Amino acid sequence: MLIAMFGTFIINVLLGVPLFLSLLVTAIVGFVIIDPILLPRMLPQQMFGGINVFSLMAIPLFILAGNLMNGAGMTGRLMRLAHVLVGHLRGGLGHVNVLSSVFFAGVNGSAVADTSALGSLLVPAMKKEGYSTAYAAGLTAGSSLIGPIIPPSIFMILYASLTNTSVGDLFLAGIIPGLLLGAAFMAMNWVYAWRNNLPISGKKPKLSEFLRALYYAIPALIAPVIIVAGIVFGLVTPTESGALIVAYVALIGLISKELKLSAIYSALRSTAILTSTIFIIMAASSVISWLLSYAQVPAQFASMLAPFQDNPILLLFMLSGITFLTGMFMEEVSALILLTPIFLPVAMMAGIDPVHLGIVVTLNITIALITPPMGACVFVAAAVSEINIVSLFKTIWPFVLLAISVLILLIIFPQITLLLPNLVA
Amino acid sequence: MRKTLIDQFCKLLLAVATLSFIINVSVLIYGIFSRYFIGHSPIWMDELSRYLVIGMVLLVIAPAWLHNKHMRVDFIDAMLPTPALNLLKFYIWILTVAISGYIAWYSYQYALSVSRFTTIGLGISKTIPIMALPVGFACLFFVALLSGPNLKRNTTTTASR
Repeated sequence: MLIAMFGTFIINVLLGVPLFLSLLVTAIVGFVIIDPILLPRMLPQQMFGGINVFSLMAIPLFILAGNLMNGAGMTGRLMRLAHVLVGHLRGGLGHVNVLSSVFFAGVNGSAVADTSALGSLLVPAMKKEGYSTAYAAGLTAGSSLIGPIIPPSIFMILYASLTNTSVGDLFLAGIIPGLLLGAAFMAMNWVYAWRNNLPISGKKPKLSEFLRALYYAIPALIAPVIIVAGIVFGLVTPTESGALIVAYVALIGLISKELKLSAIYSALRSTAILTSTIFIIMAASSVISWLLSYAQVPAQFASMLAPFQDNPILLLFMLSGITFLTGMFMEEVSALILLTPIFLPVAMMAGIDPVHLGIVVTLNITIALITPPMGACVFVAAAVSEINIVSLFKTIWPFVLLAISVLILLIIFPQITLLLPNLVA
Repeated sequence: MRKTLIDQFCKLLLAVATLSFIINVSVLIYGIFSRYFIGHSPIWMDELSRYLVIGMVLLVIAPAWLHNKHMRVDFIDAMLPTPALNLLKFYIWILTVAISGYIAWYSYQYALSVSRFTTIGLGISKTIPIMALPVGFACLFFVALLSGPNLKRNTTTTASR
């Protein structure tokens, strides 16, 4: 059954069939093999049930907040602050790229949105300063991985809904790994700038310049604090927090007169389309996830990995390897929905904290956004940098390896991930 | 004429979906407001929010399909000669029509089968929210059917996006 389903899925994906249709065809094939009588009832029931989860409703709200933030000019202000902070260092624009991703991650949990928003502005400027196009595009795609790790994160909300884990704990757990990822990319950029002898472009900013940049960026910097504090201290649910942040960004934009009504409608429209494309994949993936459970695949998988349960680190490495390979050939949301229910029982039996597993799986799935052949961020980075996709995929590997190094660190030292949730608890 | 009809229909679907999203944000803000200022949050809030988002998501499947916004891998498009590309487009089109028609019909049957159950928060028949599924897929069915496979007539091939 598994081979038939996997074959159907891969063939349809490679033929260019939309992913939700590929998943639905795969589900139909699965039902035909297992029990065709179940198909007419279970298909709609699982599709509806898969998206009828309150915490998932936070996803469109965080996407909308990010879109409104762009419309209200907040992204530009964050970039300005990053420029003042690190623009005067050697390789300054590369550092600005990474730091802007860190700031941007605080409101928008989407790596693709990050690549698109920052890449179109920073890659041309980086090229002018002597960075190679491939490096500038690679750094933009690579640093965008910070987006889904620093809260809010679409992948974490999805993981939490699948495992009944606290979204607040996951959000807290993502902060240090996200900053670590940012520090790693900045270190890499420093080495690149030093080896290529890139000029120091700006002069050290005056205190007044810094204060002015900070003043204009404060409304955007407060947003992640509202999100995390509201959820962690139990004031609002993740979904309510999403609604609050939407209202907050819209209010700031309207008061500052930078957000026009046409921009709000455009943000709503593009959010509706993006949400629909994500949720319909979730709905279709839920059917396959149910089929796998019905065929007892998670139990078989758990028994296969039983010998490794005494060694949680080795087990996490194995699960990461599987996630990495799956993520390379599968869309991230569906990979997360399919793998999480299979991994969770195995990890729980080995004594792995579900929050730690969540961060490891999320980072793994996120890395897939820059790996060939389906890395969405690389496609966007190639488009905004006007570079051939094949050559960018060839040069992306140092960024992938760097992200994998951070992942290895997190697997070996779970304390890094669990420090903040334990502190707050 | 047919193209205009499809375009206008999809614009209408997008407008309704956008309105549903605005109502959703308002409902959630009202829920927070009432919890902290009135003393209790209405029990129907989270249910209504879920159904509004699900409605929005399913209404937009058809416009997203029309504008080629659904996630797909399109490497192969640029590699194929026109006849093979047309064959592929026809396959995707027939698959879209068949699956959307199938889901629209069977989810309609499923929605009717749960009509005697009511939801906890809003106290409405479960058929009402589940009808979003047949309505969304029926819209996709009709938009795909009316649009046709959009075959290429010239000899050059280009990537779809």
